[in-house]
Amino acid sequence: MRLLSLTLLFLLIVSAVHAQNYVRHDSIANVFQSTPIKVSYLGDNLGVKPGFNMGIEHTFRSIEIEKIKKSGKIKLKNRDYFYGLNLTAYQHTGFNSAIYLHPEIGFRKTKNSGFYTELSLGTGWMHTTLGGPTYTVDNMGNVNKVNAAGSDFWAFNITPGLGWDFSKHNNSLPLKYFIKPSLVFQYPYNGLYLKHIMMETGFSYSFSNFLESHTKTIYRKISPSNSKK
Amino acid sequence: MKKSTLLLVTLINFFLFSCQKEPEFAGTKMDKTIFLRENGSDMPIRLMGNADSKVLILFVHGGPGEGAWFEHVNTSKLMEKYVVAFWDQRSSGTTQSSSSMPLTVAQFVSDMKKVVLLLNDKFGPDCNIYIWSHSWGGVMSTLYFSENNYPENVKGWINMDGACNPILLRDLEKEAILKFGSEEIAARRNVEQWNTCIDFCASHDTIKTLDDFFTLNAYAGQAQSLLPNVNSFNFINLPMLVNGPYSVLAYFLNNKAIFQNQLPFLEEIFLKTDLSSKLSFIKIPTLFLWGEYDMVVPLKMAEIVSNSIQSTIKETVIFEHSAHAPIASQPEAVNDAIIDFIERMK
Repeated sequence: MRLLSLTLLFLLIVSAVHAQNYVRHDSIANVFQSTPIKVSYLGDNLGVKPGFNMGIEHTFRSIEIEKIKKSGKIKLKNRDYFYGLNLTAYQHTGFNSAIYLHPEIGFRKTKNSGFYTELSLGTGWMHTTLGGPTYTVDNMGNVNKVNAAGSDFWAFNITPGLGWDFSKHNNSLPLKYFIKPSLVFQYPYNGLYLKHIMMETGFSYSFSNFLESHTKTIYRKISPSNSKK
Repeated sequence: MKKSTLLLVTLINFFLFSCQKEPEFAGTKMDKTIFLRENGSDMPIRLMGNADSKVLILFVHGGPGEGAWFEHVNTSKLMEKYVVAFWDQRSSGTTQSSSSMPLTVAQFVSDMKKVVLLLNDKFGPDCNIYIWSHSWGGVMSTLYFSENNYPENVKGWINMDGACNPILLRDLEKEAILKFGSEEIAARRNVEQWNTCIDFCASHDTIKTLDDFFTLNAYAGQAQSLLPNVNSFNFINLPMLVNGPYSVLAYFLNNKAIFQNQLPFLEEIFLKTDLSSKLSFIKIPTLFLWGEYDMVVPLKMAEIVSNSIQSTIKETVIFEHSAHAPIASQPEAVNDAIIDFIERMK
């Protein structure tokens, strides 16, 4: 505990010193951006039970950072904060099919190379349909078929991801490719949460003029305090 | 925009409901899944094998909390001749449920009755049904058969290592640990492990709590796997779980749910259920299949039950390289014994 406290104090001092050596300059603009559409393969049960995900996403805040190092080297990166709406579906033969409609919120860090990492959280409604004909039997022994037998659940997901933003190298190609494992909690299930491990891989593309909206964009320049602005 | 929305809805409906056609309950290589929806649970019944044989075997799995379908790898010979119904009980295997209602033994027996009625409806009254129970499934089957209220085409009971009278388990398990333990210690095999089991039995004259019962049960399970004559097997086949109809995490969750949320139910089974008075009502032809080295439900249970039931046909087959799971340790021999019994019942 004492070691932890000392480490935290050390990090605090280092970051304070570091902050004093650099200055930050922000300029803010509202940028019109079209809404990207995501289409991906999504598999349940560690990725092997096939399905898909479709969604749209809006970046509501973007920070474009240009950091000039003391050596004079310039490092570019950006951080996007987004929300979106997704429709997920999968089919697990002999078990169930499901649709999961969920809004999500998350952030993404993109390097100048186009490589990015992201984390998003989502929650919504899941509807499952049993993977076979379903029957009820009454106390007299009469058998009745239940059409489209299914159940409704609340679900919550945590989704880390990584991908490549091709627009970083080619402005006319607003395309991203991504891979995301996803941990989905389905509730209630036998009095507990049923966890799903899903794997998703697909593309996101921004069609020009499609559902355009404002993104608050911050252009941040970080430079050594002794350099001229 | 409207057209694309319509297309999307149509696609989703097709995706979700394309598997909902009424199956044919016939064919020599049937492989279909149907569900029984009963009191908050959707229980899958996987029908595999030769449905044209007009013989159906309903597998009533152990546990509670295990699943049935994974046994299909050990029943290929049976499935060539008959159709085998692998039913996942409530809160077991891949049964789906959004309910957290308390479980009771009576509810499981009621589910079993409805599964038989459903299969009878789908395969017709000319199809002979055999109940093949294992371990905990033996408790349910004892209650089911003791009521003598089953359809006429239910022709026999294949009772494999069945815990038919759970109140006896504690004493029988201790007796088996002491018997096999002293033999193994004399032969200087796994002396330390056997001594641990024997010490536990010696220090627990009476088993009164679930914790003690499960400790004893775990010792019995571990000890039987130490015996040199028992064929080993893999209990969990992960690729099969991932690629098959099981949802991997649902499979483990169902089992966890029973042991986490249903302790009164487990107490009811293992500490309070005395079926001595029920056994004498059983009249169905019965085949006992038992692992010679079963220490979870020892062979003595088969003797007690066989002597108590009224069935005119009762036979016992003992598997000399098996413990509590002959179907996994000696699948070929178990398949042959069941086929032999059914063919003679025809």
